[in-house]
Amino acid sequence: MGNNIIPPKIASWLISKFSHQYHQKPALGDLEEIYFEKAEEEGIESAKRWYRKQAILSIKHLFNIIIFWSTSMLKNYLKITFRNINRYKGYSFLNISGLVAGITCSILIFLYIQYEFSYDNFHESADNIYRIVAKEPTNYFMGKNVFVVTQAFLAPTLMEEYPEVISATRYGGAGGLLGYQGKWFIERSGIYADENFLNVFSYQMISGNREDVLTEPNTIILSESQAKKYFGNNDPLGEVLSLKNRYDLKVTGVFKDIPENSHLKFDFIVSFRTLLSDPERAERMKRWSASSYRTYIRLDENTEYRDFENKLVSFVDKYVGERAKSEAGENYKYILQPVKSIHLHSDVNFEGSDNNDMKFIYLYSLVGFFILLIACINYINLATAKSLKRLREIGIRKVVGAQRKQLFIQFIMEALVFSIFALVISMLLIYLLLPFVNSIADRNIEIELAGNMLLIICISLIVFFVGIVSGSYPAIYVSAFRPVNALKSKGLLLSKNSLMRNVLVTGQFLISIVLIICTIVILTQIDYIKNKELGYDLENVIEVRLDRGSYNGIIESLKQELLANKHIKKVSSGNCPPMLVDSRGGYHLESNTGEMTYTRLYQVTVDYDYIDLFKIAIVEGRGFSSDHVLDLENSVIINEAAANAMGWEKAVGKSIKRKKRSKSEQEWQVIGVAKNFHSLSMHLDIRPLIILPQDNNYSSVFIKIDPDNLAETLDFIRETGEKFNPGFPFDFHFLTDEYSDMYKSEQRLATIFTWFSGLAILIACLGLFGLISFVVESRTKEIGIRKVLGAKAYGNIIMLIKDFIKLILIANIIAWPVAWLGMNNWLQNYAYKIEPGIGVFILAGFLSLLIALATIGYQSVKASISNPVDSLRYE
Amino acid sequence: MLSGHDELLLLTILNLKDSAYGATMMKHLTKVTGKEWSIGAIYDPLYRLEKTGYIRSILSMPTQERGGRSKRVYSVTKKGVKALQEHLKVRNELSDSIPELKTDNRLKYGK
Repeated sequence: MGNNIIPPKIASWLISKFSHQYHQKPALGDLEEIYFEKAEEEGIESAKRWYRKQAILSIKHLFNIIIFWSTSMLKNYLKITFRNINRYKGYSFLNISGLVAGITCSILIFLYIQYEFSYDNFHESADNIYRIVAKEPTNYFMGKNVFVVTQAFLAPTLMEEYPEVISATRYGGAGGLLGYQGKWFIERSGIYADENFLNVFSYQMISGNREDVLTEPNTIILSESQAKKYFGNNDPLGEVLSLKNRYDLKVTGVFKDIPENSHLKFDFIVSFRTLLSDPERAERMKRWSASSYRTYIRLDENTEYRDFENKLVSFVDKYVGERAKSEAGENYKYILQPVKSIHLHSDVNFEGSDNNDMKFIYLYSLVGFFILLIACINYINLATAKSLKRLREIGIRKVVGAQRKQLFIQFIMEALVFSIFALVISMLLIYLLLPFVNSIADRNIEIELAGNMLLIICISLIVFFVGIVSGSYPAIYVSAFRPVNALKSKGLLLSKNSLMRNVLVTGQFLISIVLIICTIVILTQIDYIKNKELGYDLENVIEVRLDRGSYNGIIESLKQELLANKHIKKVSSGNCPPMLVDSRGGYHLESNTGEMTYTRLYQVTVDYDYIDLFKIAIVEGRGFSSDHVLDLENSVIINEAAANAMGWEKAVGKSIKRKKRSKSEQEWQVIGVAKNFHSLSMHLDIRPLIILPQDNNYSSVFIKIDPDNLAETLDFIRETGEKFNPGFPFDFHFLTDEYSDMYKSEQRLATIFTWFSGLAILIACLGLFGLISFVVESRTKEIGIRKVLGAKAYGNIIMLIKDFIKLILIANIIAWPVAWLGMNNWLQNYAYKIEPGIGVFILAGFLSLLIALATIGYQSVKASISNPVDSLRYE
Repeated sequence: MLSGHDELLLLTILNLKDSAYGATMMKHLTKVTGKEWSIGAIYDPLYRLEKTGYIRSILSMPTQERGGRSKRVYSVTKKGVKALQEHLKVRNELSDSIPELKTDNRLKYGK
């Protein structure tokens, strides 16, 4: 037999590795015997092929072997783990609760983030749907220069010009009083959308053919719940609803309620043709200077949307050019937003939906990760400390031949068992906590393990992360014990790992302190916003939203009737409350040199009593007054910011003009300057503002009431409203509530941070509590001897806690700059903000110290005042 | 009870008489069943059978032709023969009463 026909080396190595000791040698011999026979009969190549196949087949058996041999040892590890859990119940409780808190928190955060990413994924061609928004580089409105609204004819024109636009649609808001057989409801979330709408989006139809439900004028389709509201269980198809003072609309279809995770939400769609059926309006909508509709397109799947966006530059030149140069400034530009990214990435004016920000997603992931880390650190600290109690077990295992690897596996396994155990409890907790989380986050998250592969993967990753991260240090630490030391003494080992443990405790407190500081800063900022001098008074003011148009001519008598009630102090009307002036117009203002300069001003229209009702201060001139007949015709008030922007020393008497759409110019004289008030949110500076006298453009009535007799007064207001506009549901709210609603996202952030920091500090304290117990236990004798030699109890207490205090002080020193940087960054979002002083940091430091002392206090005091006789007899 | 695998192995050892070891058994089984057998598929059940006491094995001296490796030669114990007998009895009893199987057998043997 030649030497060159030896079997493939890798294959024989595999077989030798993977076979049982019992038959390793004979098996190799057997294979070789057949191999040589085959080599002679069928040739070397065929023999080699056969040999390799055998090697691969043997791998299958490897697994059988591994399972057979390792289960017996694993069984033992598991048994010991459960015995230990049972034996040290307090320790296990601390440890598992820490892990439960960490795991629960991180899975909840994962669920939330997954939900946030699921927005608009349900559309069949979600990857190819884009919203077109307009960027007007020099036109900043409410701090942003991108606008969600575009021209009415953008969509159809794009479809005509570009073949890659498969479908394009536009929609505008629809609302008002919708009624059927004398039953009226105020509807705010309807839309006018064209016939391509259901072609671009895949909202599901229940009845009606999606191809043609919106093709005729005067047709409407309703959501399932809306159909129930108006028609009960009757078939709505063919019935006629009326949109008060506007259209009669025939129901042509019903669609399934819009999923919660859609950025676009609406209850009904009126066909766009309904708007176009008015020839005058249709003509107006053709102008490229008016943007009030939202445009969505579906691109061909092979089109790169950035390329398409670039193509639109020439489109702008062709169609929008004129306007771009006059008003919006140079570089008017269309931007495409992939529909799936809108919820997390879009930040534009007039968005109208409750969008989130990617920043928060990062922030929450980070916090979730850190809380999980704190929980792991907890486990590490407790497990290493506790391993001192298991020295005998470890020593014996080593003496009877356990290899380091085996001990390592044992301790990793123990951590995994703990982590799986914690997971089971966490899952139960998550089911219980989810409704609560949903109410904080204002979402509708459901947990469904089946079908949510990502969740299952994430959960397994978390469990393994926790198991491996928290198991590995104790495993390395324990497996390195020398059996002689392990069987003999404790003190040697305790001091050895103190550095590592100190770092870990410091880390835990570092994270907790950062979270505490953030919480305090967020709460202080919210408090600042709530109590800031706004420049107007919202206390006890009710806003009633009116159905525009229904009160023409009767508004004055409504006001008089309301004022007849002695609990109603003042009544005024206007187009918006003073804290959210979100309308703006272009004006020509007379400059100091007499020329007229074009400026955009935020605008609010009010009646005579508005300024008085809201107690807005006038610093120059006077407010509107019914004594001056001409006030309604040609007088305006501006704010200080406007006067400053124009550089006017004396503003009263200056002239302001505006070109009206159809009519000729309108001109006003400034009669007064109002003290600056916060007409926008605290995120933004106070901008130049003009207060115009009312010209039938009111949409709200403001009623200042006496807080006594509230229920009766509200009833009176409701009755009076009904009298003036029968069938109209009178819908009101307090302005103070509306004001705090403006800062809902801050409130949410504060709630979440309060919980996070509470949780972090709780877990850290669990760890600290466990640690001090072990420290006290291992130093029992030392304390006894000290006492015998004359040490005082308080001296002992100080000795025990001073190490921990040092660690917490170090944690504070590191945490302060970290938290300061983070919070400073967050506060940049506000034009009006607090300056977090050193006080906040000292408060957080003091709090952390106090909590830590409370945690370790009991154990150390108990140990220090105990009778030395007992402690010396210990063991 | 013996499994189908065990039965095949025991019968093979008895068939091969004194020269029943890994390589010969593999070849024999491959010939009879017409499918490729892996080394593990032979040794794992053999290990189990030996632990139960149905077979015994002798480790022979290493030989040159096997790359200096010894071979494990198997023989069936009395206990093993008895277990096999019982197994075959049960099996025949069960299959004898099924006519379809009989015709099948006959057809096969007829070929």
